[in-house]
Amino acid sequence: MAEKLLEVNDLKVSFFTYAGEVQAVRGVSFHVNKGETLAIVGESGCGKSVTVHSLMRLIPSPPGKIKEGSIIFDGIDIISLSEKQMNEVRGSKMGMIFQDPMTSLNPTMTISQQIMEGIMRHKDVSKKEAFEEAIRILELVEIPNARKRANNYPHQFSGGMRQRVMIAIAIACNPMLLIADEPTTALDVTIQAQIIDLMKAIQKKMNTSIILITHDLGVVADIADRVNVMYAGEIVESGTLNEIFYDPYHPYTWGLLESVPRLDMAEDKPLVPIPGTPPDLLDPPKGCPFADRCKYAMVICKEQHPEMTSCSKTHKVSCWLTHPDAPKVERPLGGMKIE
Amino acid sequence: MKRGKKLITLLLATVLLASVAFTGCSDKGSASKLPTLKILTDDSDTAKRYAQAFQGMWQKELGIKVEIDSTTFKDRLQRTQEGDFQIVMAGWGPDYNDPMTFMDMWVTDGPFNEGGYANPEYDELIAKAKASPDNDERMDLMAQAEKILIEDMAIGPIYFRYRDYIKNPKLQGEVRRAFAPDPDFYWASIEDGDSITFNIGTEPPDMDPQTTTDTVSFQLLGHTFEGLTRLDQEGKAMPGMAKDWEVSDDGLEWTFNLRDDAKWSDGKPVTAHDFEYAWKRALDPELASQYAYILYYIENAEEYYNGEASVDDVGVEAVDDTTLKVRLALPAPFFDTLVAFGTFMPLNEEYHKSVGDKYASEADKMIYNGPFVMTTWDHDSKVVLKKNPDYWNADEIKLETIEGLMIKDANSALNEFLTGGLDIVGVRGDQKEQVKKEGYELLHYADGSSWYFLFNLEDEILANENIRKALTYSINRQAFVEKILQDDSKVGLGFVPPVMPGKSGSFREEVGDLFQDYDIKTAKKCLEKGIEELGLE
Amino acid sequence: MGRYIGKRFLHSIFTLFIIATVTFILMNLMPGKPFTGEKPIPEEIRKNMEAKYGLDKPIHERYVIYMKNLLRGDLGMSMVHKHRSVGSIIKERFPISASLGLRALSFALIAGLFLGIIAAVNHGKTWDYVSMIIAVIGVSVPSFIIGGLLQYFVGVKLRLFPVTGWESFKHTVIPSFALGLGTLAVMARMMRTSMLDVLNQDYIKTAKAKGLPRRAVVWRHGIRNAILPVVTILGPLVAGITTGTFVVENIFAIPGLGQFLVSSVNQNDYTLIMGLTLFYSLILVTMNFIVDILYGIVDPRITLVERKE
Repeated sequence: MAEKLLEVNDLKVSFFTYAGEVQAVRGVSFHVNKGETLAIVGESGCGKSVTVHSLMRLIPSPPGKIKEGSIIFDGIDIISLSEKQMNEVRGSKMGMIFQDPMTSLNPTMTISQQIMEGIMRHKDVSKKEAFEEAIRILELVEIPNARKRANNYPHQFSGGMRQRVMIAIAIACNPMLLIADEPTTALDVTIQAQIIDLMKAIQKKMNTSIILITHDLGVVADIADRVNVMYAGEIVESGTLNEIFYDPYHPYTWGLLESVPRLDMAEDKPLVPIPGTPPDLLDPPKGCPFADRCKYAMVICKEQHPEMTSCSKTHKVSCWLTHPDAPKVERPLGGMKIE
Repeated sequence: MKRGKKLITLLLATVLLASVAFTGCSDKGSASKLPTLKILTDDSDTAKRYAQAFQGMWQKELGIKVEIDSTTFKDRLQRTQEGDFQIVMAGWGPDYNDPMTFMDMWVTDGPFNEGGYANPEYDELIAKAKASPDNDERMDLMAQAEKILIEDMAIGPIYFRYRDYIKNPKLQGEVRRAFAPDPDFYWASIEDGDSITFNIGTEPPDMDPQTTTDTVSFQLLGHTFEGLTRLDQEGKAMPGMAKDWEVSDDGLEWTFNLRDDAKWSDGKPVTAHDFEYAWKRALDPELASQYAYILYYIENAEEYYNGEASVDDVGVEAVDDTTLKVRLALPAPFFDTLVAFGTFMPLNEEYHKSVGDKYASEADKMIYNGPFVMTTWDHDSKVVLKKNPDYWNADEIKLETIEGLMIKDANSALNEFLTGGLDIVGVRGDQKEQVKKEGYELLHYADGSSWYFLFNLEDEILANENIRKALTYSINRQAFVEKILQDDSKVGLGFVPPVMPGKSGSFREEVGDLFQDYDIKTAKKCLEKGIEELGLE
Repeated sequence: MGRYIGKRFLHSIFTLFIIATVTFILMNLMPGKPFTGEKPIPEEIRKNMEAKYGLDKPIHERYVIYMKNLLRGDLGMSMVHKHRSVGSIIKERFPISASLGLRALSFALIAGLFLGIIAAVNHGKTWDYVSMIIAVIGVSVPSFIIGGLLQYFVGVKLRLFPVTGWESFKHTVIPSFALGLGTLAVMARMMRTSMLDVLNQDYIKTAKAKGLPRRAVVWRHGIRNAILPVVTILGPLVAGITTGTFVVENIFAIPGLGQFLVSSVNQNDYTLIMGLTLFYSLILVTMNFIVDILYGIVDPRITLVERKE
């Protein structure tokens, strides 16, 4: 069995606002193995970003707060660390790539400075060594003319190139875990594939674990080993890539899969958006959070929260339809193929 | 019994008030036939407050509507001079120590007669007074003229200005005269020392005696220069550069005998030529001196200035180094005090030619002949005057140093005084309470000015004498002085202020009040009559 | 770069020319005349004086004469201060106003930026409220009240500093404080807003994710970016504060340019009005230019050279 790098147990994160407590993440448990890629998918606002920001304790506080749960990373209890100890972890053992490369780089610093900053923070190197290291990493992320462009400012780069710089910053200290928060969302489609390929290559070279957040199932199919589906601050289904794509159990997963175009789809089959909106996390429902939007919802769905049940060793789902007493329903998707 | 009396008084007062209110109502009826009048004022807060006070009084007492027409200071002066106004509050300060400095303003077509008053009878009285060498006769003639002026209500007197100041108790002997009211430190001394600091308020705009017009410069010139005469504590002429002088019986020919030990600060002697040169310079049309008119008593002075006579015709002549002969156009018994005025200060031709245009631009671009010399002129900041050891009367001068600071803000000046940075400072009405609290004794002085309504007699409505009378009589001067001015000013019921000399004492006291303050009854009668005369009924 | 400066220079000259022309016209439309005094001057005397200063000529002739003199660098003689040239007034008085202004500005900048940063970093906490209360006081209480109160309590009651004058360092303390307080407040508010905005930027998160300590995040990534908008207002601010402020200079009897700004207009001192307006414009134009160059240095995104791709 693969070695666990990260284990998250019953993580609860809330934001305390004037309107009240927004329960953004409500008891999330998952793990990441060494060298594997875990994708977290879900609609905007489902808590996937908050979950991964919590891993690096980057939730703005106030108003955000990790209320409960544990995060064990490489044997370290992340939540119990002091801010100073946490800074030793950030950037060195965990790196993070953000969504928008246009705004995630400091406009008034050269890119080499921004890369060197992390290296000099965590490694005992001279400025010159740090600079050489930065060049090496820039070459690694395939920035052409790296040495020449190292002293350029972010505005002198295109979006895709900037995202490469972001990746360079994140991997500068050779982290064990790379968290990518929608790294391709803001990029052109052609560039997206390049970035994903780059991440794959780096993973191969450095044996890094990756948590990838996205709502793009195509990207998921391209890179992920395992997938967590999140909805309203909870993981509703998790499994291997194949399990989620070929044998999904949760109606929300069905909905997600139905709402994206696929190569194997019959031409006349329309894309089906999921009707309705997610529940208000200021006052989350006591039953299944998806019940209101679920066309298979039963009485119990609104009354009681379904438990997480295992469908296989790697596949878990939280849905009343998997209960033995539940009526059998026809899965709307036929067999599907993954590229 | 006492109680009963009080009750009756109260009752009476109520009836009176009621009747006033009643007649007030009916009056408003007639007054409303009068078109809205305009009082011109500049846009400073104080000026506007004064105008509002009068506006309120006229509205309340006569039901006359008066609008406040406020504009910039310069424009107010300009419009007044151009006759573009109806009513404006104006003031006049004396140029020399004689009622004539007030009285000759109102002669027909006189340069300062901005209201356009014209009365041949008045003109004749003034001309007679000017031509008379006899002081008592002059005073009588001027008294008659003033009576006519007020009967015609050419102007509406309001108040004579008196102001307050405080000083370091150790400072003694400073003199404030009615004309040139800024302190004169000639006789001053200070306990435990010989240097004092006072506030001149602002940079002297022009220290050239022949061209300057402002009080700051004149005050400094008074300390650093000396004319033929100097004013004593009472404002009478005392010997200055002239040790004595004679006047002919017709009062037209004056001979000044200069002392032979008088020196300029560069060591040259002060001679009669220096006076002749300076006076003729002041009248030079090329110099365009604003105060040239003050020399017009001298024969052919006005003519020279206007290009109708040559410089040699001007009636001033240095007979020799120590004798100056002056021929006047009219007898002026006060001429001995007039020559103490700044414009009459001497100037050494040779020195003047050596500095040229730079004359009086810096402390070291002037030579002095007065009790003090200016050693420092730190522009916009301060001046320092030091005792002149070569001054003929140096033994009498006790102060070694006089420092003049330029603090414009009245509160800042008071604060500076309170920390000991000034030995004497003026006090504004609103500062009186604070000063009393600090334990200083308020001192008063008359600044010699007379304040009045200037009416535009060429205006359709204000050409009517009765309207002017109504406006003048209905003002409550006592209340205005107490509530609005809050200083020590005195109610003005004539034009010439009490500080001007008369036959033996004060002109004002000898002539007496010419009307009654706050005379609503007469004011109302006049208003009705005026409206009738104007055909507004 | 050289081309840019050349272009800017020509632009500035044109601006100054327009300002000079407009001021000349407006000034002559102003009510009142320079030699209207409290005592009316007899007609002949006024005519003589106006002739002496060339005011008897029609306005277009005077304009041409003035502009010709201006080209030679001659600003003329003051019409009120009889023996002083406009040039000498500016030359003597500007250094004092500039000294006061720069002191006030340094104080306002240092304290204002500091307060703004403290407020932003402690957003929503006590220090935020404290600094914003100071800022509100600074903005809403006019300098003549601050100045007057300080003069009375610190100067008269406590005798800590002199009341008026401009001689020693001690003389400069209260006026600089009184003059700077308003600017301080503006700076603090601006810096706070800007800093809050910057601290919410993604690149701050990037910096945090690198494991940088909070101090490094705030200083290296926050302040440099947050200060940019402050730099843009520095030009007009420096020009305004160094060319004389009437209120503060008046209260503390400081011999600067401020008094002339007001008195020249009140007294229709035409040559002085023109001289001061042009001088102020010159400083403003220069300051804006310097700030533009400075901005290019602080913000690499701004380039002074037209880009050739």
